[in-house]
Amino acid sequence: MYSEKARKNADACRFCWMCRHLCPVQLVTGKETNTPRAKGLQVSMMERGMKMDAASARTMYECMLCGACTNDCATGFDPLIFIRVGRTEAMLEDLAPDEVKQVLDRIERTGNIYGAREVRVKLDGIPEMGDNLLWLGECARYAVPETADALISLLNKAQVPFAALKDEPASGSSLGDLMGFVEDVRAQAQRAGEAIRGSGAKRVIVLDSYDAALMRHEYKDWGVDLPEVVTATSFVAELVRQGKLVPRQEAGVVTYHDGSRLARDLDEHEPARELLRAMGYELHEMWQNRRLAKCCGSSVAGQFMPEIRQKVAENRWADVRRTDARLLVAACPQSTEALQSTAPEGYKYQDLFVLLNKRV
Amino acid sequence: MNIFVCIKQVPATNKVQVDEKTGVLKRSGVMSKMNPYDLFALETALRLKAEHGGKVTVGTMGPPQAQAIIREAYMMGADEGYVFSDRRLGGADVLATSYTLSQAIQSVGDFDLILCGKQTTDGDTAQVGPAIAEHMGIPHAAWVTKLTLSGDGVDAEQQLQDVIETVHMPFPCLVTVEQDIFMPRLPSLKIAREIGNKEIHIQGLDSFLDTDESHYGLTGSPTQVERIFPPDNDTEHEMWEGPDSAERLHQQLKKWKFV
Repeated sequence: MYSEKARKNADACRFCWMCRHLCPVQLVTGKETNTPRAKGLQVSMMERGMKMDAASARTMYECMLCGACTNDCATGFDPLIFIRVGRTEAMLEDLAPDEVKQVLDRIERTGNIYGAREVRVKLDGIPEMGDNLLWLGECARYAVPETADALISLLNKAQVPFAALKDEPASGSSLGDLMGFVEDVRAQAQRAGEAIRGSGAKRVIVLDSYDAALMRHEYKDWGVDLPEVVTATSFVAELVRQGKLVPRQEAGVVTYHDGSRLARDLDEHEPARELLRAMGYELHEMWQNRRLAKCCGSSVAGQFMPEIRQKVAENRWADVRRTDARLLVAACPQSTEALQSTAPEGYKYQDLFVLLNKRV
Repeated sequence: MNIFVCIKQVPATNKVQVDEKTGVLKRSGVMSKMNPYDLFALETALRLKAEHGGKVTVGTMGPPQAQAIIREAYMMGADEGYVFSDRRLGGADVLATSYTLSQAIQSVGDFDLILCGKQTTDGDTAQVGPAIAEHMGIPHAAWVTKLTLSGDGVDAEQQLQDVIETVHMPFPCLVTVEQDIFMPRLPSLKIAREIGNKEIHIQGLDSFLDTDESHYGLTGSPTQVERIFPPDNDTEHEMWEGPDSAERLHQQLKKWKFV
């Protein structure tokens, strides 16, 4: 089942175990099986005859797919490659944890990980065809609509014409994280691609960095052609640079959480920081920032392992407490979902677009 | 329409050993995958089925471990799969392999269209597909980059060396496809769950019309691989510069009788 690439990655591990310092899941569970090293060892053993069982399948799912291990590995080991294949294997063997299967059932029934039927974002009056298509993602549409509402308000204030789809299909990001990159995920990506093409868009402004990363890195290989894909952060930062949005300046100290897909997959660090500085904030960085940022927990993980996702988010707040900032800002809806409900006493969380919208 | 796709399990690594006695690749225990070109053939079949209806059957000649690629084909959407496995079939060259497959296909049933990848990544001969067609007495087109159903057969666009040739062939016929004819789909988990442990038919020589063992395997192979080796890495070279380099190259190639 494992491709040669997946096997080579699993066998490349040199067992230095430095990844244990970076893995956000291992840092909160303390379990060696949660380290990328252990997962790699497991894959190597399965390739040499060991059968996958329920415990080893669960191990494959106790991971945020944040890429911190890949970013830092001295051997160039990329666990994400074989972890995704491991999840496919778990599905094939019907060994995926029940909680994971429940999320898949929700996706099958409703098209999203939440099982929600009503979009919570205010989309009335927004056309569905136009040169700029705003792609919101399921987290913003169903869990944290204030992030999307704020972005829509900012685009209106900047007088940027844009479209948004009332029945926006999923990008395939959550499905790919749950079952690996199989045909079902590509079929979902193709549906998303068709919806984008149907809108006539020449540019897709993507709010959720998980969607943006998938669209930029996988869609082309899957034969899904898209127009220009830009992150919402970079697009809004450009609006501020052009003077189309002029935020009110107010002094204050803030720290910024780099979402893992934005910082590592998309290698984007500065637009959000520019926006914070444009609002007059003094940015005090957490020790692990930019490509080294510690993941705060993905939305899909929050659905099938909510306790671990909560601990991972709380551990990120521990990094905030090591700065002198009392305000944490992040730019991805999935970060918003994880961090705003876990803010400790005396600390505040704000989504970047919600904050900016208040200042414009 | 009834489509048969020939697929083959090939080594997934270039670290393969050769049996010194027979000159045959030692495949047992080696990491394997479906021949990449066969993925294009299978995708072509699945698209034709999606557009025109019908059934896609896949078959492979190989050891029992080749069931893995049949399962992969099932997960892509193939309807039925066969492994033609028999010790007496082992060690076959192109002639014996193509004869085996022609017999195997006919033992399974009647097919309108037989699809093959243009070549395999281990043998690289690109001969087996056309040879199957010759054994079966049916027309074939190789290196096809475009295939459409047309009346009682197919229109096939062949990517030949200097020209693109379009041919019409009535059913039954055989086509070998070039890479990139279509982008192969990935295996589908949804299909995997639906089919469960779908049966893979394992058949041997005894199920063929012609059961004369001398026509198969090493015995039935007029050619035998004597040695497989990477060419010596000769780094000796000359650098030519200047406007007369082309003429100088021409003269040297003539001297070596390459032109």
